[in-house]
This record gives sequence, C-alpha cells and structure tokens, in this order.
Amino acid sequence: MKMKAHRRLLAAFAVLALLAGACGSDDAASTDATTDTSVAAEDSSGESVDETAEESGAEPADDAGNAGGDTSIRLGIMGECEGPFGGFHEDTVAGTTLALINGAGATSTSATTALDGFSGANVAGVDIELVGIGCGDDTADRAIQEIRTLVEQQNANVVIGPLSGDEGIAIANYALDHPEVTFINGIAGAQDATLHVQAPNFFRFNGDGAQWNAGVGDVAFREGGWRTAAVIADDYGFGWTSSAGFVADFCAAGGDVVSYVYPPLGTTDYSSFVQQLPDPDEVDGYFWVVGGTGTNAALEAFVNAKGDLDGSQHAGNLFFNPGIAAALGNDIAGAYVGGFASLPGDIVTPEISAYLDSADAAWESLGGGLSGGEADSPSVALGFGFAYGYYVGTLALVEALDAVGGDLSDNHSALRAELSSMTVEAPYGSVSLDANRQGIVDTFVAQLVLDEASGEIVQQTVAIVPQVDQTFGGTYSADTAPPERDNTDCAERSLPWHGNTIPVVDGVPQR
Amino acid sequence: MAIDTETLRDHGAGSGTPPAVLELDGVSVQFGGLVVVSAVGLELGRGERLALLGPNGAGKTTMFNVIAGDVRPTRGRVRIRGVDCTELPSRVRPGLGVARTYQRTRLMAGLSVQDNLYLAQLGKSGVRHRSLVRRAIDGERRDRAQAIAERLALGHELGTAVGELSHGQQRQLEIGMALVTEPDLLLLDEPASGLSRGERERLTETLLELPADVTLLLIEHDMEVAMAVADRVVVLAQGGLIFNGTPSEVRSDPLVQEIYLGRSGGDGRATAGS
Amino acid sequence: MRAREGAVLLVGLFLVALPLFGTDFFVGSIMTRVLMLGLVASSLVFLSSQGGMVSLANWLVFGVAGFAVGNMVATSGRGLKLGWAPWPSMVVALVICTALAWVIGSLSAKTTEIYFLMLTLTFAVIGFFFFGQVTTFSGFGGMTGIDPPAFFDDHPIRLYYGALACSALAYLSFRAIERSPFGLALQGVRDEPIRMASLGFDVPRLRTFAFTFAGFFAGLAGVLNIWWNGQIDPTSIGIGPTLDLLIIAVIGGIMHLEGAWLGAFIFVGANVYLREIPGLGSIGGFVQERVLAQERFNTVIGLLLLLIMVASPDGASGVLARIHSAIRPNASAKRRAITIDPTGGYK
Repeated sequence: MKMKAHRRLLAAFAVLALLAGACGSDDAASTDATTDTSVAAEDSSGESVDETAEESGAEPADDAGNAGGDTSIRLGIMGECEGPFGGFHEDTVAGTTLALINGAGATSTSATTALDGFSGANVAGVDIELVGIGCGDDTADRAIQEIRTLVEQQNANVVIGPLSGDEGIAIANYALDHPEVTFINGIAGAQDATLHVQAPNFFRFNGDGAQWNAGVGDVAFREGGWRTAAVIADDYGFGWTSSAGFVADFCAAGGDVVSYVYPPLGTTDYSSFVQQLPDPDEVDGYFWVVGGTGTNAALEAFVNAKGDLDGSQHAGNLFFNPGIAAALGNDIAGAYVGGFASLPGDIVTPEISAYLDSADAAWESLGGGLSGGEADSPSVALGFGFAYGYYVGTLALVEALDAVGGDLSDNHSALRAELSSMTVEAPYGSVSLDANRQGIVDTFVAQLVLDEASGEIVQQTVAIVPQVDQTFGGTYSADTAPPERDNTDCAERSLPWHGNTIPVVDGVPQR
Repeated sequence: MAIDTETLRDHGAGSGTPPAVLELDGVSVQFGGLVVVSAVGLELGRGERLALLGPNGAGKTTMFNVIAGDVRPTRGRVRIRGVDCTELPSRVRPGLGVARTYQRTRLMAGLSVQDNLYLAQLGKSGVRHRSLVRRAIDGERRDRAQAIAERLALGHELGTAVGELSHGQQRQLEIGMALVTEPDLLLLDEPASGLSRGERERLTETLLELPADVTLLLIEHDMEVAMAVADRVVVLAQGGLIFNGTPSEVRSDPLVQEIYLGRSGGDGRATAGS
Repeated sequence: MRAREGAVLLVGLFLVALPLFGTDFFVGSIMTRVLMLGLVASSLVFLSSQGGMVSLANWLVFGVAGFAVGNMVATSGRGLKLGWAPWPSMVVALVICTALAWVIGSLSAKTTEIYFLMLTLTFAVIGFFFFGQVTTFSGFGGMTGIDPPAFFDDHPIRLYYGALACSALAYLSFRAIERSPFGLALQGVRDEPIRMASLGFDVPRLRTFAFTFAGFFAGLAGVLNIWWNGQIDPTSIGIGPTLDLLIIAVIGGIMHLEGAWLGAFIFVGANVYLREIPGLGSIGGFVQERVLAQERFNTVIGLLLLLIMVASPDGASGVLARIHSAIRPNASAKRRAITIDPTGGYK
C-alpha cells in the first residue's frame, strides 16, 4: 500500500534528532567547555578546558551528591535579554563582572562589553568561572527554563540573578528544590521571594519593591503635612508592591490612605481612572506608581480633570522623574520621589566615587540600558540600580568566599552562613540580611526641585533612609498575603527608620 | 407580482389518505425588500416526480432551499410527511426521509468515496455516543456504499479521496450521496449540470430506476432529462407559481412558452429576465 | 501500510528507553517539556486536522488547568489556597478544563476559519486578564511554589514517564477517533459543514464535542506542566505563549498528529541548543558586534521557523514527505485517502 511510507523516514529522523540531543547533553561538559572558551576567551590563568570538563562531570545529577564539595565556583548569571528590561542585559552582567574585577582579580574579556565574559577570577584559591548567562524575558516561565539550563545543563553551582520580581519568586522556589546551588538575587524586587518562599539557599542583598519607597510616606507626612493620601498605581505585581511600600510607611507615620485606583497596565487614556481620585481639596496628596509613558499620560489626565498640578501634593515611586516637567511644566516642583537600589547621582561620597571610577577603569565603554544600548561611560550603567544590584550580590559572594577561605564543602554551608551574617559595605550603603536572607538596606527620598541656574526641574536627594527592613515594623510577615491592590494594613506603627533619616544637603549626607 | 397565488392541489391527495410527502402552504421568502418567492403552494404525493422549472432568478433555488431547510420562509408553512418543518433546521430532514443534492458539488473532499457514502448513511441514523470509540466499520452501510458506487460507475474509486475525482465523477457521487440514504423524498438541484452526454443518459436511467414510492423534486435546466423523469412540471417565474401540469401540457402552454421557454419570439427571454 | 505505526512504535520505544542513556537535564527538562508541549499541541493538531478548527484557546485551557491545580493545592501565597491533596486536585482541574472547553467550544462552534480563530483568541486574552486582575484566583504574581504529588516530587524521570504516558494516551485516542464514526463525521464537518448538516449531522455539536475532547488533553498537559514548572502566572497564558503553541503545531505540520511532538522538539531544541552553536555570536562581527549573540537568539529561531514554513507549508513532517518522494518518486505519486474495507482492515 502507499500508506505514508515517509513516516518511516520521519521516525528515523526523530530518533536521530533525539539521539543527537541526548548525546549533546551527555557531552554537557564539552559543551560547557565550548561555552567557556567563548566566554572566557584568551583565558591565560592556566585553567584548562580539560579541567573544566572533569569538574563538571558527565552527570549533572552528581552535583547534589558531591560529597567532596565543589572546588570551584561555576557562576551562572541570570540576566534578562528580552522583554521590557531587555535593554539592561549588559548592565546585569557588567554589575556582576565589576565585583569580580574589584574583588577577585578578574579581567573583562572585552573593553566595550561585559557580555563576552571575564577571566582570571579567583578568591581564596577558588576559581570563579562563568558557565553561562541566562536570558530571561521578564516572565517566570522563561526564568525557570533558563535557570534549569544554567544549573542542570551548564552545571552552575552559584547563580547571580534574576532581574525582575516574578522571575525572583520562581527562582527562589526553584532554589528550594536545588539545595546544592547557591542563589544570590540580582535586582528582582518581589516581596514573596524571601518573605514567603524563604529558601535557605536564596540570598537577596537588595530591597524589595516596597522597601524602595520607605521614607516617602514619612517625609510627606512630616515635611509635606499630608494626613490623607490617594494612591494610583499600575495594576500588576510591581505596581501593587511599590504602592504598598508607600502605604505602609505613610500609615505608620500616622497618615491615612483614602483612595486606591489601579489602572490596567498599558492604559493610554487615564481620564476615567483619574476621575475616581478625590479632588485636590478632598485629599492632602497623591502617590503615583504609573510607569513608562503612562506617567505623563496619567498626570495630563489629572491636570485636565482636577486642575493644575501642585508639586507639594504629589509624590511617586522611581517612575517619577524630572522628565515629567518637560511635558507638564515646572508646577511639579516639590514632589517627592521614592528610591531604587543605588543612590541618585547628586550624592557624592568617597566610596561612591571610587566605585564609579573602578567601573570606568574596567571598560572603555558599555552599552547599558540607560544609554539605550549606545556606548557610554561605564559608570552610567554601574551607577544605576540594575547593575548595582548585581554588583552588590556578587560583592557579597566574593567577600563571603574570602572570609571562609574558599570553603565550599557541605553544600556551601560555611559560605551560606557567612552570607547570612555578614554586612556588606557596599558603595551606596551597607547591607545585611534578616532571618529570611532578605537585605536590610539604605534607601532614599528625593524631590523634584527647580534648578535656579538652568530653570529646569532636577531630582535632588533630600534624605537617606537607613536600614529599611522588609517587614515595615510588622505590617508584612510570612503570614500576610503578598501585596495586592489595597490589602496593606493601614495602621500607625513605629518604624525603625522614622526619625532616623539622614538629611542630605547639597549632595552630602549629614550622618 | 405573482401570477398565480392560488394553492394548486395534487389530484391524487384525497381525504383519508396518508399526508402528502411534501406540502408547501403559502410560502413566501423575502430578502429585505426583495420578494424572492411569493405565496407558493404545492403538494407532492408519494411516488410523484416533479420538475421545477423557471428562468434564472425565478426563485427555484430559494424554494428548494426552503424545502431543504437552509432558508426559513418569511411566511407560510412547510410540511414533510405531515410534520411541520418550517422552523426546523436542515439536519432534521434526513430523519424524515429527505435527501438532497447541491447544484455546486458539496462533497467531503478529504475523505474517500466510501467514507462519503458512509457518512451520508450515518447522518440519517445519527451519531451515537458509542461511535466515538467504535471503529467506523459497518458492513451493511459499507455494502450499500459499494452498491451505489458501482451503480454510478465509481466502484473502482471507493478508496480514492473525493478531491481527486474528476468533475463528472464528483457529480455522480453528489447524486449517490442522496441515493445511498434510500430517501422517501429526493431533492435534486440541477443534477445534470456539468455532465457529459453519456453521463446524462446514465443519470436519467438511474432516476428512472428509482423505486416507485420515491418522491422526486427536481430542478433541471436540461429539458431532456427533466421531461424524461418528471410526471409533473411546475413553473416558477418572478417568485410565483405560474404553471402546474404534465410535461406535455407545459410544452403547449403559451404563457410558459412566452415567459420561460421563450419560443414565442426573441423577446421572451428578455421578458422573463425583467 | 504499517509504516506509520511502526515508526511511531520505534520512536515510542526509544522514548521509553531514553532515561537509560540520556542525561537528567535532557530527559527531565528538555524532553519532559517537549512531551508536554507536544501533548497540548496535539490537541490543537487534532482540532485542526480532523475538525478544521485552528484554535487559539487550547493554551488557555492548558493554563486554566495550572491555575486550578495551583488554587486547590497551595496553602499560602495567592489564590484560594484550598490546601487540597494533589491527586484530587488534578481530577477536579481536569473536570474544570473539560467543562471550560465545552463552554468555549459551544460558544465558538458556529463560527469558522478567521472568525473562529479570533473568537478563540478573544477567550485567550480574557483568560490572561481574568487571572491577572481577579486576585481571588491569582493576580499577576501567579501561583508559585506548587508541588507535584509526592510520587513525582524530586523524581523528574517519573514525571517524564508521566508526560510520555499522557502523550501516548493522547496519540492513541486521537488516532482511534480518526477512524471512528465520530472522527469521520468530524472530518466531514471539516470539509463540508453545510453538506454535513443536510445529511443530518448536528454540526455545532460535533465541533463542540471535539473541542471538549481536545480540552481534556490540553488540561492534562496543563496539570503536568504545573507539576513540572511549579508555577504559573498570567504571562504564562499571554499572547506570546499562545502563539508559540500555534508555531509549534505549524512547524511540526498541522495536518499530522505526530507533527505536534516533532514541532515541540524543534521548538524546544532550537531554544536550548541553537544559541550554543560556537561562532554564532561572532557571525555578527561583520555587521555589528554580537548581532547574533545569545541575547538575540530568538531572531535566529524566528529565521529557522520561517525557513521551515517557507520550505514546507506542512511543516517539518511535510519536509520529510518531500525528501521521501524525491528518493522514491513513485511512492507518493498520488495521494490516496485511507479507507476501510468491510472486513475492517485498512487499505
């Protein structure tokens, strides 16, 4: 019969392809070696490809039961090369690499990009080699696929990353199932990743999305005289978490949030949402968490519906930037702005200068996210939160590894104990971890002010908010639901940083 | 507009006899403001062979579709074997013993000749839940399919995908799809169109061989076929029924000749079309 | 005539034996995912090849299974947090998915072609926003930390066999349907719905039933997926993954059931292995540094898929068919439909 004889061919092809795939993976080590030679090109440290192959072993599963412990660090970086933050892929790798250059004697392979890898990283006799760079796209599913590849195929035993919140939760959960691997967060800011998942091998040296807004409510309450506030935020995870930080802080100071409005992500016409907000004479202030092009569109809708902006009545999270003035005029002067991982450029300390100089010394130029991928001074990328988050995490790894003398035995137990207890003296402030291995960090409050000289609105740091922890004095705990819309308990509380904020005058913290 | 709106009764249908196989009662179809079929009444008795004639645009196909259930009449009733089918969809017709063909072939091109003929029979009896798992092997239906195929000179093509048949073969199968269900009422929409002379003759033969109790309603442009098969002719023009009689009567009716056959002069066709 | 069955059996045996020599990563990550994606793609290929319905809602049903399991199993985090055991949750999730597929199917069954596609796409988009915005059931953060039953927990090879068994079940079911009266009727509806109605078939009901049947298998894949993946969030069922499923079906060959798994293998394999081809990154050196480097590998994948589709509208299985007919020109000179003789054997 003429019954689809080609299917026999199809089967043969399928079997061959499967074999090729299986054997390809059987050869995981040699694949890694290939990757190594490409990422660690011109590696002159004497670390040969063959050694790598031996260390990696043919069976990744052996890692879990590796009684002798790891003898080197096979570092995987979980970056994000696609999706809304895809432009910051270079930043994430550069942040990781700079910490290894500054603390582990590494050399960047290329003078114009970090993505080609590094060589020569060694701390306390332990080689640190880059086995792969994961390519996330801001979704948790992709993050899991990438982390599986990094850990299970490329045999990473330490992973730095990821970048965004939902990825962070997914990877923290993945960490629970892979106790042999140490995970250090990049800059992902979802609260659950540490507060709820509590994986013993997942460490986060940056704040979460709520922590970054600590202090804004307090400053608005004390300095701006706000007693009531309305919140308008993007209707998704980061919008909920970010606004929750303001609500927790403002309520703790004694304020009351009287209105919540959550426009869907991607809204272009905000008029109906702005209509739901109380009028300016009914509320003391508004807190905005509207990202992207939505910031200007939402504020324009506000002007149309409620009248001219009065800067003293507005505050926002990191999305609130001087660019607003370009579209809406200088009336916005006086508005408070929440923080992000690093500090704004107007703050100058010797530590910050040294850090930024080291970045400029490590590369000629980098095409980071802030410069839209165009070559720019490396300190531009490294001064921004994305790269800085990866930098701090890697710096903690390097310092902890040094402190334990390169001891990686027993599933990195000594290293993990050190990571949990250490204080990292990072350029933008010291970081230590709480019991859930979540960073207690310094953040800041800035203000949009009119620069008399140029006549333009600029961002000026008004205070550093020291040692912000994740719980906001008990507002959040492992028992509370993750932030969503208006579920943050609005209650007056005593927060450790209230009354302890460090004023910043002309860019100099008054410690 | 309509030339004749009176219900024309079939002489054979008296009181006390079983209901007519097909009964149209004042059927009108209107598409927007356009009256396509206007108050047509018609009755078909068991075993009657009726040819439905009329110029293009006369409303033949619409009336046909009303009977087949594809078009719902604006007014009037359609009864098949006494059952009021006016509001019922086309899929209940086979259960009442109705089978139809299409003017433009509608066959399952991806399936074999045998599977097409099988489905035609399956549709009549309905798909039962058991049919999900059971293999589509049904000796009786397969045999009947084969017999019909052989009658239509498709016996050697049973396993061929219908899409690969020639046009003539597809036309044959189109009729076979209706015949295989052993219908009581057979609706044929221009079965001879696109057939060669030889195929037409075989078609005529096939139709003449139908069991005597099969009622036939036929739209046909080919007069030879229509006159050979029909024992009664109705003529539609501009949506109305203008003639109802025997094939020999229709040839001599001056009105029909003028409007439809156009034999009274060169302008006959033009009159019909206007 | 046994070539197809023989070939599938050969691949099946190979897959059964695979864990003996494949690495854990290849079996537990790559091939498990291939089988799951192939399973949900097969539900689409079934609808498309037998029912003529190119649906974009299968991925939604797949996702709803995950959300259902997540809501029932989780004890903390988001959603209902019912804290049920995994196995009963699976059963309930499958019931929910099948019911959902019935609803979507019956609402879409009267439309065809582009309208059917758009209607099912609408359901997919509604699903995305529903789980994003209705925080009772999820919210944008999604269901996280969902553990499979203890039998599968920390046993990736068992989960692989689970996916393989479900794939085999789907394959055999869809193949059995193909030659059943129902399957023939469905194929009739695919070719000539109007004729089928006039033959007495309830066309929307046949379509709805097929959709429901496909929904069950999409749901099965969804349950396996959340057991394997541990999490699901609204972006998991967004437009991107929805279209990925269509891509998988198309590159595999949307008219061949086997194409579903073949397409999934190509899709996953390309995603994982393509970027490791040495030198790919430096190809870009001529134009711009790193233009085809890893972070742009999706462009490469896109080009590969484009190539397959341009070369063969019937996907990878169509390519193989052409190669075969080139080698043995007489073998497929005339396409013949499979038919059944009264004795029950295939011709």
